[in-house]
Amino acid sequence: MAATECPFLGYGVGLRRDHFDSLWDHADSVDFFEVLCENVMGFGGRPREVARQVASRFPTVLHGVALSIGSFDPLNDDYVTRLGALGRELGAHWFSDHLCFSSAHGVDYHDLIPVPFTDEAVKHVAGRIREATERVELPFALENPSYYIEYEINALDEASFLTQIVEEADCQLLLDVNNVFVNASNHGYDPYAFIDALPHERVCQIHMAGHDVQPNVIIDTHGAPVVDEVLDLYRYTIERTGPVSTLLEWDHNIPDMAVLVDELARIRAAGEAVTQAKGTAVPIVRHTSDPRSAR
Amino acid sequence: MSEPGFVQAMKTMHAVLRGDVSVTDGAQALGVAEDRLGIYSDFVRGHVTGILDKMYPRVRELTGAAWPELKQAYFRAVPSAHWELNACASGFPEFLDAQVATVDDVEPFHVALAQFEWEEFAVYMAEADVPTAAEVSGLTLNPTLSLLSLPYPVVPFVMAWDEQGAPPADIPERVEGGVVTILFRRGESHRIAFYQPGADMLFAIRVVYEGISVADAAQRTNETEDRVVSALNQAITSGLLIGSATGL
Repeated sequence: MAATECPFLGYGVGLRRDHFDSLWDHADSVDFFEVLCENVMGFGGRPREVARQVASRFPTVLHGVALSIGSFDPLNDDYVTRLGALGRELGAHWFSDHLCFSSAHGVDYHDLIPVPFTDEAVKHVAGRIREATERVELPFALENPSYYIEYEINALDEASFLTQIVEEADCQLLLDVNNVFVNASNHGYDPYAFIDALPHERVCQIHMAGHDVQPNVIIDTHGAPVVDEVLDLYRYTIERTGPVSTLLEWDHNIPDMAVLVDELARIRAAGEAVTQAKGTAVPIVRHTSDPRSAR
Repeated sequence: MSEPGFVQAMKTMHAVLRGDVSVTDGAQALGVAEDRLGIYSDFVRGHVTGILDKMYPRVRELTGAAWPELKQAYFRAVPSAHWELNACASGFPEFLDAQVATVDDVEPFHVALAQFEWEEFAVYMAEADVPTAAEVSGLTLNPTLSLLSLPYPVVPFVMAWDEQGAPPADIPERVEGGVVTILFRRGESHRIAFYQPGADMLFAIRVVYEGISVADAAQRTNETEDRVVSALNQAITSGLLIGSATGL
């Protein structure tokens, strides 16, 4: 799927257990949901039931943390098979995961470990993306992760590494704007120049989130409101990409759904102000069962 | 042909994350800042130990001062081998069993309690959908049903703990031959139910499992059919069985 064919799903939030009961009270404030595949794939019961209910009303996309697209181990058969099945079950528009490795030698880290930025790694990761995309049978979006170390062997800058992979794999880009801010702060580069260097036509989704500022490093916690600097960077991004499905992530210190949708409204206002000013606004693609689709 | 540099770097990272290489040595080998590398080492270890805290709250409380070292030792001994984070805790009961002989604060009862606590989660996440009565013909066992044979009466201990909001003063006596313990997930509420089943509940399981008619069940047990139906209805009310006793 070319980036221009990515439907604009509007402004969404991640499906979290804390909101299983309350999300329906705020259904009109959310356009789409991102389902964390590891929270649903191996589960029956409530998580599965709510994911199905959500998918019957809202567009969904899948997001993962355990595909381990950079690993030197083979792709995990069980994981990839379940991912494809979940995508079909929920009718997800695409799936995404991070440019990292999260397992090796059969050991799962449950964390996003950076891959060295080298030419050989570009080819390695791009090949695995093509394989995963073929097996899951959904478009794939690669996310720029936050990272805290710079390997001595890095031969490319981050933007070039990311761009070369998505170009070679012919996949989409999930641009985490908070991660750009965090990485730029931690590694001393210009976040705006980073945005400029990316292939804007491949950005099919944006992540927004909060972070934690510590004395010598900023940690990408997804546990706080989006800071103004990240919102400014988001506006700058939307000016260049046009409307992009935008999702608010909140994984720690998760607030009530009411707080979450207020934060989402702030992001929506920023995005819509840019697209209206630039004349690039497009209608939001909604689920056919969503009453808003008839408005 | 030698390995690409990025693979060598990732293997060094792996060794650091597993604790096989110190953060100091790893940082030197990778040419990265030691404090930044330590962030990953702490994160990876913290994910596993945090899940143990979440999955085994009762064992955690009972083992007291030994708990922090048990978590660290488990991380070193049992690498996480599943993409689902909670699954990293599945090997803990077996690990704990191996500690009984060497760690003073770990007793065989704690192992049985850990088996129970893990099973609570396993039943919660069981992929089977629990059907409604309207979706089944006749009478069927709850598809999430798990039967354990534990060496201690864990269920009354846990129930007493829940009721009084604190662990019972005494650890129960070991029961030769084991104690049947059942867990299942209720369909509508998705809550986990657990029982140390009495004769009626075990009888109801057997009747449905073996597909015996009410009349045959009454004959085999020298009970009245009303008595059989009553046992089945109790099991239906609990969520253990799904359907209607008249469907047999």
